[in-house]
Amino acid sequence: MTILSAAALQAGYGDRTILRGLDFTVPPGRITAIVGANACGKSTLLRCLARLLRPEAGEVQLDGRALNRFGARDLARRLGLLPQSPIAPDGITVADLVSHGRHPHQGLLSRWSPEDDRAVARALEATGMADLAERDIDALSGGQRQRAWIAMALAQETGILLLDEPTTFLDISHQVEVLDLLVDLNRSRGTTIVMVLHDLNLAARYADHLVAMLDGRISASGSPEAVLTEAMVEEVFGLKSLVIPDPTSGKPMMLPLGRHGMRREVAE
Amino acid sequence: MHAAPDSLATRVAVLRRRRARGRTRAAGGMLLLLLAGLALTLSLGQSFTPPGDVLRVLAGVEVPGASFTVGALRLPRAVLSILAGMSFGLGGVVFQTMFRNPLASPDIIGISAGASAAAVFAIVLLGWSGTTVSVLAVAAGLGVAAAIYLLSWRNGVAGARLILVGIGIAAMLESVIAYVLLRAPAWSLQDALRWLTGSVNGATLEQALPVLLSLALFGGLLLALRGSAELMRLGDDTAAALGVPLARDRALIVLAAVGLIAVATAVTGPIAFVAFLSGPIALRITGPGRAPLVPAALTGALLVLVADYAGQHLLPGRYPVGIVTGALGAPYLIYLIIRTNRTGGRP
Repeated sequence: MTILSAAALQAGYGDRTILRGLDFTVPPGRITAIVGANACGKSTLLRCLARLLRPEAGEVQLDGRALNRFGARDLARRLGLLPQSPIAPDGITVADLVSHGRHPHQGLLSRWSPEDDRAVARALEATGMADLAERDIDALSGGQRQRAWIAMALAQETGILLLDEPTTFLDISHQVEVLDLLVDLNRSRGTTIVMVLHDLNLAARYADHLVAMLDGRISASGSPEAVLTEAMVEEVFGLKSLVIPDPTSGKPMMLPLGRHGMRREVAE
Repeated sequence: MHAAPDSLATRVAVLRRRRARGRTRAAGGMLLLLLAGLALTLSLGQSFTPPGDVLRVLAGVEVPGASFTVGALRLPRAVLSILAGMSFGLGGVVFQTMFRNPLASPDIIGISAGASAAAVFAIVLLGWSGTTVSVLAVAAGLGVAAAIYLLSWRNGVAGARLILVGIGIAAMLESVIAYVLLRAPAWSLQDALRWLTGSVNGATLEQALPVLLSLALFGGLLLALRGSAELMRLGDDTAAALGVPLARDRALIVLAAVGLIAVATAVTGPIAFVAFLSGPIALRITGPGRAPLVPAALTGALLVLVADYAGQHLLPGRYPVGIVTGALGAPYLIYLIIRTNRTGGRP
């Protein structure tokens, strides 16, 4: 199983350093969710892990080998990434989009093969997009469109899949649809999944491993039960909260406490 | 992971082949149209030359009269039109694809104007000719591309800023062209029109040779990199995640596209809007879904060939090809700018 890890990672944009000496090993075969307030460095970490951003110091390793020593296609066969806002060209069909996921498996000499068709079919099947294969991406709902993008990343058939806020801009039913799909993939293919999520409760419910970030560092990591506590929410988000077991999943669930709308006994 | 039913894989393959066939058929149709255009321009000008005579001239047989009108006048003109049109069409569509915006075409953002200014400077003021002019034009095109890139850089390059900077640079370079023409010891209206709007008047086969070589070299490079250009349409991050070496491939694509545009421009001048129009027209014909590299090259060739024919024989009076393509391109440019304005910068 592939191991992705970062050591003493320092990274940022221009002269703005965001990550300051961060160590992190992605638990293989598990679902990891990275949470934290805006600008805490979640996406920056994900971009470093995917080699979209070159670290200022420290390094990221894949199976003990520095990430920058992999060729572009070689890396793309091992590690997939779905950016936060990918761009779909006008009029592209689902099948065409998903086919792009096979790019790293083709060289100058090895052209499209029946195995590529089978990989595309597996990705369409796994995401429930088989019946929509001929549709234009523009004609899909938000959840379907996100499933099409995930199908593209799946067709890459990498051991690790990184997703930057895969549920943003989706309404709640589509958020659940996408997260359920990711769990299916993890369980059936053993794909290691790392995703940045905004919603703490969905993160606690769907992830095996939770990473909370604060000011470019990892503030807490471990099982959702160990990480999602009232103390963590206060430290990381500066928010008072009540954490209770989610009656539907048994995982911790965070209820924010504001200045208004509280029952008196809670407010006190 | 359970294996997906083979029937789905078969359906995927059938869909893929059907789309590929559709694209091949569209490109084949355009190729036929281009051949028909070529046949027309070779046989019918001020006078009609029977197809048999045209073929004999092409085969190298001396035919009184036809050898001159077809062999020395019409053929070089048609060959140069086709080669330059292909260069403009291919160079243009690659820029539009990579920057995900039809306005990001080399003839809109000043790259053609840069090559043209360098060529007119070298030819008119320095008395250069041939390959050295092409090399200088390519260098100027790359210099303009680099200048636009640096001037529009602010934590990355946004398409809209790049286009605005490019339009400004294009305007400056066009005034350079006008200035050089004014300083020229002797110049004709024909020369002026060539460097301001593009023309294939007085074409010779020797002139067409560098354009052919540039098409073979740069065009071949672009076709080899078409997969990368295609994936850049999905955004830089997605392309990189799919295994495209972004920095290297983008540099090579810009180099090749600028090379195509600049070498052709050094011979014909910046034939107005061919780079800009070919991609969108080709996309209409082949259907969306994939960047139409070869169809855009064929469209460019057909555009220049037909526009030149129209400028010579169909319109009252004679106009260089750039005037005709300019008249075609201007309304589309206005339409795109209005639409970009309405969508807040998104194409």
